Amino acid sequence: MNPKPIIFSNPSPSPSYRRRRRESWEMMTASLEASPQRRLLPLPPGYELSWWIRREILFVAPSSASLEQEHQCRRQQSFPSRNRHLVLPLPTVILLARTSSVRPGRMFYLSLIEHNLHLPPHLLNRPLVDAIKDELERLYLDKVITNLGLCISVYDIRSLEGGFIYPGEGSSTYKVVFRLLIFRPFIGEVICAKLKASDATGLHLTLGFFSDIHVPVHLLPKESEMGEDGIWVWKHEFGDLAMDLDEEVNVRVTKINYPSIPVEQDANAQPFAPMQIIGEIYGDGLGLISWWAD
Amino acid sequence: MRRRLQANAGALTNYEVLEFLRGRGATSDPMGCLGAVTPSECKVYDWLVQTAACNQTKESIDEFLNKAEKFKLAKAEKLNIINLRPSNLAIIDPIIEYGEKRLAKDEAKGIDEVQELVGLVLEVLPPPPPRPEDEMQGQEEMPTEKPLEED
Repeated sequence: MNPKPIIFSNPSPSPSYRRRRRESWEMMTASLEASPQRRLLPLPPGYELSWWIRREILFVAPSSASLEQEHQCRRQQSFPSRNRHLVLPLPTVILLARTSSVRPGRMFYLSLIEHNLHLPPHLLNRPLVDAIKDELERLYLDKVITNLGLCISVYDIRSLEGGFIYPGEGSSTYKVVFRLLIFRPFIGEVICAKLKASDATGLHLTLGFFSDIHVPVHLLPKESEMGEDGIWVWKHEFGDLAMDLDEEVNVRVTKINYPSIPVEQDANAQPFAPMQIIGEIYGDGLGLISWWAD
Repeated sequence: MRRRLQANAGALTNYEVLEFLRGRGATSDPMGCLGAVTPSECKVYDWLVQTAACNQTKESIDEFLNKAEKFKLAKAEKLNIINLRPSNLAIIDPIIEYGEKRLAKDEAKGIDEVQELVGLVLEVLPPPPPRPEDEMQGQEEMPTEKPLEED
């Protein structure tokens, strides 16, 4: 007895959309089943993922009512607490609503931080606010904070407290509340960047102050091919358009990665990029500006 | 040691960041702004000056926001439009999510809201200055030739 999916007010999609969705869903679940380490939502046996995936809803349905009793007694054996599986009382509908891809946010934004700052003694002769600001700049400027972004500058200092000198130290400790100007484009934002390099893995774009924008091969326009010199060419019905270097490109941000610091690195490897933006140029209006200019 | 009180304490348009850096003393001249701002801030300033934000004023942005009320755009979309200044329909398309459904387009009645939005952008937000490299490239066109093989 399968519970019916909940009907929403969205208009129902066309059959071809459903088929495509089902295919991509099946591909995704097949890969999820194949790699148990990457399973985000481990399913208890007897559950299957419904093929019907709405845009934002993931619907998990029990496959058979007779599993109810079996599930109850197998629960303790199959799901020891250390595995952190989901234990579902039957029947259950899990709704994982995904918020809209365009999140409220901007390329540059302010972030309020509180920091217990040690002010070293050699700065004590300077005016306090300047010294604190210099220390904060030394600590935060040009650094990437995970999930926050690249710090561009200290916007202002909201409050200062403390100034105590703890026993055994020479520096005074202040509790500073301040705002940082952070660079972090939001997912779905369209940025205008310059094409810096192009190779077999895709395009590399730069913004002058930030150069780790990468467009991987699968997010380039569909019929793109790479020429011999590494330049990608978009072959579409009206002709070939080359993505030459030093061109302005509109790219839509799809993901921001914050890879962890590698323990070992080759001598010739690329310098470590703590923040990497993945973008796509697959769509109307994206790609080189000259393609869409009037 | 450090605590994040508010990860998102307010978003800034490119124009506001530009004003902030200008107020700190950044200029296009790389030597001139050594004392007041750090070199990395200088780089940010250089990039911002090249975008559409350098000609904007507070009044033009306010006017744009007032007039764009009727399109019911999301905050992020309005911001993206102010930062990017799309000058035609194709460029504005990736910015607006579900554009076909939200902005009405009825050729019979002559209403085309996307085109109105583009017109509003062109009229209210000042255009970015033309770049000298693009002008030069238009004048001299160098055909790419493969080097001839030597026998």
